[in-house]
Amino acid sequence: MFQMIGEVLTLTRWEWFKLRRRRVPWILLAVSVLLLQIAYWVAYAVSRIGEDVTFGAGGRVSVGGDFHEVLAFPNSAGIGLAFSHGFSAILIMILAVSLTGSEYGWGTVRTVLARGAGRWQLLASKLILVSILGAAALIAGTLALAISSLVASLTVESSDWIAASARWGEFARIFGKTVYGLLPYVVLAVFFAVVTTSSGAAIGLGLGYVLAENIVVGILSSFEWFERASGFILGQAVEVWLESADQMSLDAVSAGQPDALQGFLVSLAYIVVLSGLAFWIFQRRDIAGAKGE
Amino acid sequence: MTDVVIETNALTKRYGRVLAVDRLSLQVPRGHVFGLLGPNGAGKTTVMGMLLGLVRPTSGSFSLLGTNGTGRDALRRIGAIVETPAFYPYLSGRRNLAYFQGVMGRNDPRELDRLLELVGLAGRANDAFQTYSLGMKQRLGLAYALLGDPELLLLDEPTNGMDPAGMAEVRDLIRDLGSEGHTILLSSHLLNEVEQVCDSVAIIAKGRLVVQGNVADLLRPQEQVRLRTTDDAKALTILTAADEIEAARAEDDALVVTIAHERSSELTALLSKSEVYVTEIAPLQVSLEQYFLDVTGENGERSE
Repeated sequence: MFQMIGEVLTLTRWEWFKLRRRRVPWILLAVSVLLLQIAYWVAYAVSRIGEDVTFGAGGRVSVGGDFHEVLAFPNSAGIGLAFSHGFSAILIMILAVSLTGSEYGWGTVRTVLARGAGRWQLLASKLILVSILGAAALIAGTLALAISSLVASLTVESSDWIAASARWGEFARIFGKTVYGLLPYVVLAVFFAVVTTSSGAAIGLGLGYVLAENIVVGILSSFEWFERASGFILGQAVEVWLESADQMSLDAVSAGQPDALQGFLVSLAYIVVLSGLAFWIFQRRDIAGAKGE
Repeated sequence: MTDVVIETNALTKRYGRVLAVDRLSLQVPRGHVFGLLGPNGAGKTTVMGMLLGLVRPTSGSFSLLGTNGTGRDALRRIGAIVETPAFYPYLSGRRNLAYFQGVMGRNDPRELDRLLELVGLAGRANDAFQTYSLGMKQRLGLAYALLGDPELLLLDEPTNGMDPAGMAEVRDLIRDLGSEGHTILLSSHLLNEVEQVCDSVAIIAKGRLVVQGNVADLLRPQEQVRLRTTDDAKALTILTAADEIEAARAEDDALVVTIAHERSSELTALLSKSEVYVTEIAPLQVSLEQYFLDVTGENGERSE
């Protein structure tokens, strides 16, 4: 068991060795930070003119009012995380597909496996690395927001850039929930990459899925019967889970809050089922040569 | 008893209706440079893929280095190039090798230096793989295959895309590795190359084993001599009627007789009994290529 874990960690390390030399993760990180910054400065501008708008699914964060309350760190990071989930999910899918699907295009999956790397260990290392990088990107975005808070505070009289009423615990909870909310998308992307053995097709399917889900939800949301069923759709389940982020803790989830618990469990089901299918297919399927993508 | 490093038993791979490999049974002895020959689509790469655990056999079994199937421990003792070497295009040759070395749980920069030097890539080691020519990619593939000094090498068309000098270097390298005790399974469509470096060969066609054996043993029954006599017509009649002569035919202004070279004196004795005298006799070298064409029935389409 320890040997297997050691192998996965070794592979994860070497996946990072090659991934960090690609442009893709850095471009995605830059896009992610940039979008967070845009969100922050829009919120800042709105707060300066005294308007009250909301960010995030279900109107989770209000930015109107006192600078200290919402735009000083770490509360500002809460805004960022609330705002970021939609595009973070897409960016993390692109990263996951890029790390997995490209191996088929280049034919390198064959080269790696031919030297004794275990199949499930290799796939696990990719899932772990993308998940870690997703969390790292959120941390990087958060740090950038801290700097923005510092800069913004200079424009506000008698304001500190660290909020006097800093809700560190809540921030940590939102952060954890946001990372968890990304995991189903990581697994979905890897699943598509393994099924299609193509990064292009996998990205297309991934984005198509997200888009189709939004369209279906938009069309069917007027039906009463759909209200109950929608909780089992991935995007809806994750949204429900994230909506609870600034209202309840994981303790509350375990205490049986229905929406959050369902969101948590449905997301978990997607993670388990999709990763199980991806591992099963990857383990059993013949590995062909380069596809030249 | 010979130590067998690769043994396949009725190994079969079917892709839908296509039978790529059909009940193939091979034995590759330890320390041999073993050629796997076959025309286009014969199933050579599929066999390599199955041995490396990349392709799942439909039926049959095999053992590698004494273990059944493709265990990961066995794979770590095997170096391989299958088809065109595939590496990360944005990484340099050195970093590609460092990555695969790391995947194998090792970290030895000196080995990288040595291998890059060995395959003649030291000068371009820090350039991105995507800038390499096909020949350079093959060289990197060889360095990759040699990572960790494997006991067994599976080389699928290792000289593909190389210039003549590079091909000669690789042949020398393969011979050296063989003489150092490595077992090598070499798939190539360059029959001359195989003949020069291989101790044994297996010829497969349409997924089936046609023949397997030591190169010299396979070619010996095909040995021929070319002779001229005082009366070629009479000589041909005598030789075709003789039980000890496998085959004889007239060709150009001479006779071509299939007989082991060391038995050519028997020819002269046989003919002289009938007062036909040999005026000229010379051994004909039958190439592996000619033998291959004969046993596979191929007529020129030999590339894979």
